[in-house]
Amino acid sequence: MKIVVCVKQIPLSNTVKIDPQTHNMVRDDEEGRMNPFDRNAVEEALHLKETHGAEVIAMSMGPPIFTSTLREALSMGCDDAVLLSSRAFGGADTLATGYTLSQAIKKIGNVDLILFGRQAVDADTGQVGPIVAEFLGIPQVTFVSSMNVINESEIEVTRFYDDEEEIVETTFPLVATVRSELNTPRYTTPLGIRRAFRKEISVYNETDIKCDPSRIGMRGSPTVVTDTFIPKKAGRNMHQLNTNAEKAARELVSILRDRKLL
Amino acid sequence: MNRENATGIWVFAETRDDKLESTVPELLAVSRDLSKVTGEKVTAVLLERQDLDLAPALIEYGADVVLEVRSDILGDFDPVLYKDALAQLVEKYNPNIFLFGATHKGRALAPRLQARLQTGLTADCLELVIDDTGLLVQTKPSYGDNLMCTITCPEARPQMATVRPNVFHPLPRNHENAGTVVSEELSLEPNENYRVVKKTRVPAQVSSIGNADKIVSIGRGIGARTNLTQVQLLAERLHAGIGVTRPLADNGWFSHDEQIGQSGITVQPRLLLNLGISGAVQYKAGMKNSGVVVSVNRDIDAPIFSVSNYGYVGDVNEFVQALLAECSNLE
Repeated sequence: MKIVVCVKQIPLSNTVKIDPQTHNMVRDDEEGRMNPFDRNAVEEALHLKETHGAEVIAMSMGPPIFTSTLREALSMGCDDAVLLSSRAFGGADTLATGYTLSQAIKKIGNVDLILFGRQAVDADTGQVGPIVAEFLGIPQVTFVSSMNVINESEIEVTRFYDDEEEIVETTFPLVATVRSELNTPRYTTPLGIRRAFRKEISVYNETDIKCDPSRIGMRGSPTVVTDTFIPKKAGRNMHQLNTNAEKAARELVSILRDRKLL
Repeated sequence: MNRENATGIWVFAETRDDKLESTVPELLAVSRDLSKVTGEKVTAVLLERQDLDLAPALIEYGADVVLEVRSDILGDFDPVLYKDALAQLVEKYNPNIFLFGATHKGRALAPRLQARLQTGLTADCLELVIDDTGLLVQTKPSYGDNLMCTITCPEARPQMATVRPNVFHPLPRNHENAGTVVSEELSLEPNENYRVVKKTRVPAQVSSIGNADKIVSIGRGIGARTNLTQVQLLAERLHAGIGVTRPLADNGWFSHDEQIGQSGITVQPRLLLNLGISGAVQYKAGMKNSGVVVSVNRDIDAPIFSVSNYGYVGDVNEFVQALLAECSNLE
């Protein structure tokens, strides 16, 4: 079984600062972190490596600094890592990103399972997994909370969202996007880290993977960000209730009755 | 498909339990606003089993036209099959805009269709307007709702968006509305390699708080698990649903579907009572559309107070006890 896990490096914190002069986001020069849901994806791949002898390749698209997240995936136990990096890939929206990843997956060849976290907690789109599935012409299951490989061609998964659970039987090759309920991601170990540093991360650009240049990067992105802004903080003027609990409770109940909330 | 001749505002009429999914009337309301600017018709696209007839409801909620595909193979949600059906319709009619609810089905289906049509899709929009050039401007949150982006899709068509539930208000159902129903016959093949084996609602006590009118929300400040009993009693007294912050879902006390926040549920209750919650950015993102917010925390500097209408600074459990006693006096 061959598995590709797509991981994204996101900023360390979600606090956003905009440079008052350039109106651009101030990005820390610090390295980022692996998107939390991608950790669950890596963990699932490693679990299948243990139970089914799968080969696990971590993949990411981004600038050279994204190697740090790939290095972490290797330290957790992935066999190989691939970074898709080139100026030509830059400025990609979800469509161009999905296209680039799917071309790389085609180049790797014979991939049975492609795993994603359910969404990246910076951009929050959750779109790239289904886009890759469409470009590869294979089934997809999103919001996966449990996975059970039946045999080399069939798998049963549970999808979970809001208050609905769905059990789906489908076939390999498959794209799955996973939720945090799926598993508990392992930590990296010192041995894992040492092993990871001896591995080479392959870096592919647009000539290494067969790409239609009009479908990658900004050229391949139908959408454009026209503006970014920090929303006005929805502040409220808080009225502080009495410091004595009983008096405060009485005060609150009276207020809520007046506002017809009780 | 590109911009020339693309016309029409489309809404995917998602169904759930044989009824219209609750975001559909919200999408129709937004579409009616957009159509006031562009003058285009609002079309609801309905994929349903033979024995259902949801088209009249769609017209009552604001659709000018309903494109209806009836087939028993559409009974269960299969993203590939639904995508094929919608792609056939899009290619036939060339719509300008296509909106979906950001539900699990919408979030699985819309990007698949986006890729098939090689167009743009913006997920989880909070605002949709038409600009001076006639383009749909999509406002989307990112970085845990700390940053807003406005996005357009200048050339490719349709301009697609998934819309966050519980943000837009539906129009009242109007039996006087007139509309046309068009039955579409499509060639659809059942999918051999995808089968929904079983669907279950997660048990009744865990119902979705996304639509709750009142919510009691619990954070780590509640302390020991035994303190939850009082809180649950209070919630019952107030006829409120229960929500939690992420740590109380991660530790297994509650499920992630009771979790309010950026990676959980967005709520818009008329009354929200926050107990022992500090007010992390990700939590605030999920609750900011609430009506009256009452927060309880022992720390006066807790960020939650900056987004509250009323606050009690002190021991959470003492306050819960006092409030429970006060509410019993009412009845």
